[in-house]
Amino acid sequence: MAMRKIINDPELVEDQTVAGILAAFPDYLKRVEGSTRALIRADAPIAGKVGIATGGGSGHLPLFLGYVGQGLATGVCVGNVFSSPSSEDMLDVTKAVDGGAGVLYLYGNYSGDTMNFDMASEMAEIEGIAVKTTLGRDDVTSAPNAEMQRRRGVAGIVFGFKIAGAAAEEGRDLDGVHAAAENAVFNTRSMGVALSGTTIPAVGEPGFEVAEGQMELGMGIHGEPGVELGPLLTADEIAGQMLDRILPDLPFSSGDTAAVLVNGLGATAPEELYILYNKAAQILGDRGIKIHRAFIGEYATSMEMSGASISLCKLDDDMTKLLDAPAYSPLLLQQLGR
Amino acid sequence: MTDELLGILQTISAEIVPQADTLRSLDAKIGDGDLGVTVTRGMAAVLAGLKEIEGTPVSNQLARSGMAFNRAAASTFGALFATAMMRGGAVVKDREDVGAGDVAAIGRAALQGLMDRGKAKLGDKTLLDALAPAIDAFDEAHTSGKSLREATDAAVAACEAGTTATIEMQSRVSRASWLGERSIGVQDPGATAVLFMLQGAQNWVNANS
Repeated sequence: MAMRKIINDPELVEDQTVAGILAAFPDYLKRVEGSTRALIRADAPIAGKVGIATGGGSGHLPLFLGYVGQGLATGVCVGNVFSSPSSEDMLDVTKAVDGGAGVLYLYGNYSGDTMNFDMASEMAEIEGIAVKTTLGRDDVTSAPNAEMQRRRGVAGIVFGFKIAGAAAEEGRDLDGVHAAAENAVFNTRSMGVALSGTTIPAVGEPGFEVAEGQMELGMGIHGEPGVELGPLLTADEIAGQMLDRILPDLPFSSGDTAAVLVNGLGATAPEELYILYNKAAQILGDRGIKIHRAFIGEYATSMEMSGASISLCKLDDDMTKLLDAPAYSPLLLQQLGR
Repeated sequence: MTDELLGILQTISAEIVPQADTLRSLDAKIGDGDLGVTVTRGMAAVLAGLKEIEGTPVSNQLARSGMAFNRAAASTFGALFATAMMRGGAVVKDREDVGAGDVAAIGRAALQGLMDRGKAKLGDKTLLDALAPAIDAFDEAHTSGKSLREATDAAVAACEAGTTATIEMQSRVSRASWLGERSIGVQDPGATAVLFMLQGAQNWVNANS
């Protein structure tokens, strides 16, 4: 089956995506000189403030590029579709966002990314730049709770960008920004459901598929296996099953305050996300969990995958303040700041 | 050995790139399906850079080729390939007289680099399970006075056995480990890529000895 994609050349998808974004938002983003895949805020480096560098494979917009902005990350390195960026590009970003206060790496826990970012941080240290790392690992179905270090990162990393980004903007030092990022990651839990697969353009056929009328609960954003393949359930049933796994995992308890993110994976209509949210909000209310804010829309996609994820972040006073601080990125429809 | 490595990289590319679809389909079963694209783009970048490193020491040729691969096709495999090439090259740093007697030492340093970077060990169902027995077999054959051709044949045979053995293993690291027992029954794509690479090197040895 031919790909239903509006592209020119499968080999140029990543570069032409980046070129289009730079053409659209020249006031907000710029390339690191000499690199095609290293992008930073137009005003970076920001003297005296901690830089936040992120990155990952293409195919997840607005992740990761969309989280570079005021009050968010400072720079990003863009990999090929579903593949890590290179350590050299990451080093370029690191040097370009270092304002003298060190750099926080914040990205998802995938082996290609961790290996390349670790190589970059070793090289950055040789050049005298202090680097600390926080890994997004919010997907509750990817490993048991006792093996948190193996869990993969999905949409919940958005809370990490927002909270760590605000801490950096406020002028906290590298330890302080790192602590804020860790706090966000450790208090966030997510789970997804996929109704269809997705095709890497350079491959030309689906890397994985979900049969019509079926859904895979817990499937990762690159088609990683979930916990259960079965018939497509109703939105209310899906919300219930997701929260049944998310809530006890942290756990979220009565009296807690949380931010909720209902995320579309690329080919699911916003209407469906609000139907999911409606039930999720009702369940959280019944359990005595207060919703501080809700974010509904596409925050971390998987190209044309159909499906959604729910992420919850348990908030304390400091995190609430950081979550509500101003932020802006031209790639986000519903702004993260208030 | 000065520019012989460049010839070896060409035969490696000629062997592995046509197998991109085999790697893609193995990787789609227990990984994320990008390994075919990775080796195609990575090896193309290595070949594109050969001219520039002509006449330079083997250590530089190894390091530069590894970095070129990972820059064009960064990934788990790309980072591991770059690490192996850099660490392997460091063993013969700036030497002009690198030969068959250095292969085992380069291989062992590369293997240690892969373990450090990937935080995996033998039996975890990774490319280590293909590479480690190959290095041992080469070393043993070379030490006991066998020819380069015989030592290479022994290495490839051991690599093949090691790669096949990954089928029955359960993945214990990274992405494939998320599958748990469902990773059993599939030959490890990284190990398979290493096998294709060694077969490519074997083609060079056969044509030049």
